[in-house]
Formats: sequence, structure tokens, C-alpha cells
Amino acid sequence: MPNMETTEPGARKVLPIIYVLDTSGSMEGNPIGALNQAMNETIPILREVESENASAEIKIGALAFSSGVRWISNGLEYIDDFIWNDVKAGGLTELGAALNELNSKMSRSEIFQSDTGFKLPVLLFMSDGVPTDDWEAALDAANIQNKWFLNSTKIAIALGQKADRSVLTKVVDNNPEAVILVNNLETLKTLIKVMSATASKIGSVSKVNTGTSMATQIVENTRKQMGGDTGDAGVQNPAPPVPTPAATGKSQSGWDDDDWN
Amino acid sequence: MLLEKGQKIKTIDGETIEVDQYLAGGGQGDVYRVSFRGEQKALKWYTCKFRDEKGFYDNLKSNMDSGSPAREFLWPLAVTEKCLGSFGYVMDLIPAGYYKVDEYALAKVKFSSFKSAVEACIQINSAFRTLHLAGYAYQDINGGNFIVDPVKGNVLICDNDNVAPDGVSTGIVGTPGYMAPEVFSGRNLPNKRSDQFSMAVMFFMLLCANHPLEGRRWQRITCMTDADEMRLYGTDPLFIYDPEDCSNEPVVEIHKNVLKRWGFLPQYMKDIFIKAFSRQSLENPSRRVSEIDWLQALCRFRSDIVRCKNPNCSNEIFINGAATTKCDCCGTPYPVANRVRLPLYEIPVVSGARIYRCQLGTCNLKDALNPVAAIVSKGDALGIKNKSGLIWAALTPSGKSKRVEPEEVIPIKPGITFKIEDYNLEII
Repeated sequence: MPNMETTEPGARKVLPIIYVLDTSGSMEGNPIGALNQAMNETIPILREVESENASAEIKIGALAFSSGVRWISNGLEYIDDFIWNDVKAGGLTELGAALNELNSKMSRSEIFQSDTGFKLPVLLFMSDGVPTDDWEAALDAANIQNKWFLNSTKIAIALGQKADRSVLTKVVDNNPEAVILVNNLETLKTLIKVMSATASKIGSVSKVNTGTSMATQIVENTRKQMGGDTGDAGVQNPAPPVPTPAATGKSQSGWDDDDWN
Repeated sequence: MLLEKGQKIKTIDGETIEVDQYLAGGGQGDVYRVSFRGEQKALKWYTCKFRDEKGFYDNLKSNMDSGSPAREFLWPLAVTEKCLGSFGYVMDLIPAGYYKVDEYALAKVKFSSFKSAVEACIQINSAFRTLHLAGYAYQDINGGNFIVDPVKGNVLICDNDNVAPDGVSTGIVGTPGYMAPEVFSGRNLPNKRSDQFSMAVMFFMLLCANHPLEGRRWQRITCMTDADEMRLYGTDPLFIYDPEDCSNEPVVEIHKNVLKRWGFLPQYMKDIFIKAFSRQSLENPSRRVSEIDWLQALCRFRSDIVRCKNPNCSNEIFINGAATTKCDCCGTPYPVANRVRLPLYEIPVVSGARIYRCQLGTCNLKDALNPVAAIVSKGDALGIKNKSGLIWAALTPSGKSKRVEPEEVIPIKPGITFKIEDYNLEII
């Protein structure tokens, strides 16, 4: 019998969590400071979750958009390797550029390489403004061309009243429940941490019998975790989701491997 | 909301709980160290809103009133009043030296021996036998709420707030990976039968260190969608060692632990896993392997595990076919000169082996783990000690009858037969 000391960690799927963050000029000053602090404090929390998660290995990606895009992470990184380098604010709000970047990089030949395969990626968007480019064309293209993007679990944080919540709602598969509005920076910091921890545990903790989408579950669990501290982190008035052609293409049946680019 | 140090909370019986220190946070609540009845205990305090629903609080109170079904369960000792917008319950603190099954799955903790892993399985099985006999179902068996001591294999079971009478729902349906196919696919709510499936998964995880349904089919999925999960764990599950369909077999580069270990398992352990994860058993909850069948196999297995006699090796050896078996590490044979023939199979006469009531034949579940005999040694000589509390009728090879009193030892001589209850055993 092989010695128990030779036991290796069991095989796990990779759970990618990708932050898509607005670092435009309007984030200058306190907002970008709060974001940097929140991300710095999120990493050790995710490391702790990761160290106890027997069903998924967490990998992190971080993409900043302003005038163009910039990866803060080196594609997808193991949480143990990931270091948050503080970002500076400045420039436009080119959400479309970020969606195009996701469309081109969310692929087996780019960032999604693994022997064991992946769990559905989680995309966490954060913006405080109105996109300045053609984000709609980029969103449609990503949903039509990229199965990884299409099937990702998407949630969004709208920071402040100037954030365009209707845009974010469309980005997160027309699910208004997956958009959280935050009006103060203290709440933003807590929210990013709690939401990250909740998203990283999804699929590995006890399930309650509900029929809601993964994104809605993450938001609901996040709100429960924040308890009375949610303050103004209210969910936008839920309106009935309007399916777009892209969203209805979200297939519920499985695919063969080769369908995944 | 976090509780403060020094904060006092009342139980429903008016006793005082004083908060000492925050220990950990979980999906449904936080755990604090508290003082209660003059001792240090743990308080689980819910932070999750759904806990108010579906009679959860009443179920918790009723569990507390009924008392713990077995010592393995960290059972609710007292339930608090509803206050501060929530409630909680008091339980024993987790002692040092115990680790979650998940930590074993991640190889952060390793058993000191295979025998202690088998012991852990026996204790888990035994706890569930008692729980199910008392009419409960656990409903949420997972790697986070079972904690195990890696040296002795002792087990403690936490999160007993989901325990409910068999067939009663607490709202929790389970944890992915451990959920029975009929529960995963939504055909059924958790019950005793789905517990039996989850328990088999846990045994496989502890003994083979990989998941029983995650083989090639799992590995080939580039991105696991809900539909893929539904097929793998719900509508079309397939054991990685299904004898008739190898399409989900383990993958060399990925499923290293099970590939190393499976070949060494005795045939009866392979057989029981194959039965527990057969298509019939996966599809039909009434075909699950029962606790008593597991117990018989696990007790037999425990007695078949010995340490190599070569002092430079001391690797663990699984005795094969109750006969002399070579160490797979250094080649030194482990001598088995004699066997005891039980009604259903033979066991090797090796020092430290025990025979339990369930190994003789049909019995009451509550008696199943009572030892009836133990192999003892004096110098090089081995004997069988009567641990049954009953007098045995023995017959020597020359035909003389002897009475064997409790605690008396029979020398190992081929041809001696003895009778325990109505079962005939023979030394060969």
C-alpha cells in the first residue's frame, strides 16, 4: 500500500474570478483609493477561501478600463501568486474596450489553459460612470462569439448615482438583481470583499433549494452576509428582465469540448 | 452583525451565555467561543436570513430536547432566545488535532496510517447508523462539517442544525459533490437514503482520495456548465471504476491518488464500492449499500491491515486472501500461518485483529460494533480472546469439549472449533 504521506491534493476544476474595473478620471481621489484598498484586502480573504475549497482552485484576473484597457494581473493567476499593484485613475470610460478584450482573451488559447478544466467564470464589473465608447456592439459581439463570456456568471457594482445602471444591467445578462448600487466608499470596500468571498465559495457550500441564477444567488448571499451593514448598497428596483437575442442563446445543454474556443 | 466580547445572550431556558471571542465565519453564521454553565463552549450565531423560515428554529429546539444520538455529534446543547434579529445555539468546542475532511482532500492533512482512515470510516458509519435508527436524516454530509483526527481516525460531526426527522426538509439540499443524484437533479429532497449515498462518497474520498464520479468524463469538460454538472452528478452519473463502462475511468495525469490505491484494495472493498456506485444504486435510492453492509466490510478491512515486520520499512500491508502477503514496498513477507473461518469468510490470525458482532451474521444494528473476539499475542504465540461476554463451546481437534469463559484465551491450533451464539467458527 502506498504510504499515506504520498497523498496528493485531489483534482479540482479552476474557478476563474475576473474583476473588470472602471479606472476612468471620475474615479480619481478617494474612489480609486477605496478600490485599491478593497482589492488589497480581498486577496488574503480569497487565499483563505481557496485553502479550504476542495472543489475548486481559484484563479484571479483583473482588467482595468479607462482610455483603453490594461491587465493588472498576468492573465489568470493563482491566488497565491497574485499581487495587487495599486491602480491610478484617469481617462475615459471605455467599457466597450474592456468587453472586446474579454472577448479576445477568454479563450483556451489565451487565458483559459488547464489540465482539469474550468468552472463557469465569474465576471465582477465595477463602474461609476457612463461608457464613452460603443459598448453595445462590443457586448453583442462577446455574447455571440464567445461562449466563455456568454456563460459566465456576471455581477456588477454601480458606484454612485452617476453610474449607468441600465448599461450594467445589460452587461450582466439583463438581470437587474445582479447589479448592486453603492453610494459610499466604505460600503464599496466591504462589498467588494464580501462579494468576492461569496463568489469564490459558490458551488462548494451547502445549497438551499432555490431556482435562482448563480449571479442572483451570489448577490443574495452577499447581502445576507453584509446584514445590517448594507447601508445604501441596495439592489436596483427589480424590473422584469428583457431577453436579448444574445441572452436567449445561453444554452442550457452541454457542449462537446471543441465548442469551447 | 458581529457579537462583542462580554456580550450576554440568554438561552430559551433563561441561562446566560457570555461571548468571549470570535472564532470563525461560515456561510450561514459565525462561531464564537463563549462561557456557558461555567465551561468554554462554542456558540453558532446565524447571520443568514433564511434561517427564520420553515420551522428551522423549532427543529433546532426539538433536536436539543431529544439530545445527541451519538458521541460523535457536536449536538446543540442549548438554543438561544431570538434576539438582536437572530438566534444561535451552544455546542462543544472542537478539540485541537481535528481537521476537516476537505483538508484531507486538499492533502493539507494526511492520515498517519491507512488503518486510521478506515477507522474514521467506521466511526462515520457508526454515527450514521445511530442517527438513522433514531429516525433522523443528516441531509448535508460534506467535507466541511466532518472533522477527523489523522492519528486515531476519531471523528466529530458538526453543523447538526440541519439534522431533521427523516423526510422533513430544512431548506438545505446538500453540498455539490456529496449530493445524491436524485437530490442533485431535484427529483427528491434529502433523506436517509441520500445520506447513504453521501456517506459512500465520503468513504471513497477518505480511502481513495479522489471523487468517485469525477473521472475522464469530468476531466474532458473544458468548462463546467450547469447542464454538465447535472449530467455528471444528477441524471447520468457514472462511477470511475464502473465494471461495464470505462468512459469515466480515472485519468493518469490527474487522478493520481485513486490510481495508486485502488489496485491495493482487497476485492471485497472494491466490490462494495462498485455496488455503492453501481448504476442501480445511483438511480434507485432503495438499492443503496446499507450501514450494516459497510460496517461488515470496513471491520474486515481494518483487521486485514498490518505493518511490515521489516523495521526499516514498516509500510502498511493489506493482507490478501487471509494468507501470507509480501510487502509491496520492500518485499518482506508478512507471515499468516493461521486463519479463523467465519460464517461468510476467513480472516487472518494477526496480532491486534478483532472480530465484531456484525462479522458473524445478521444482528441488531446496536450490537453490530460489539467486539466478540480479539487476536492477542504472548511472545510469539497468538491466541483468540473471548470478548463476547458469553461462554463459548469449543471442541479440540481430538474432539474434547471445552468451555471458554469471557476473557479466556484459546490457543491458535488448527482444527479447534468454537461456537459464538449460533455461529460456528474454526481455526484453520
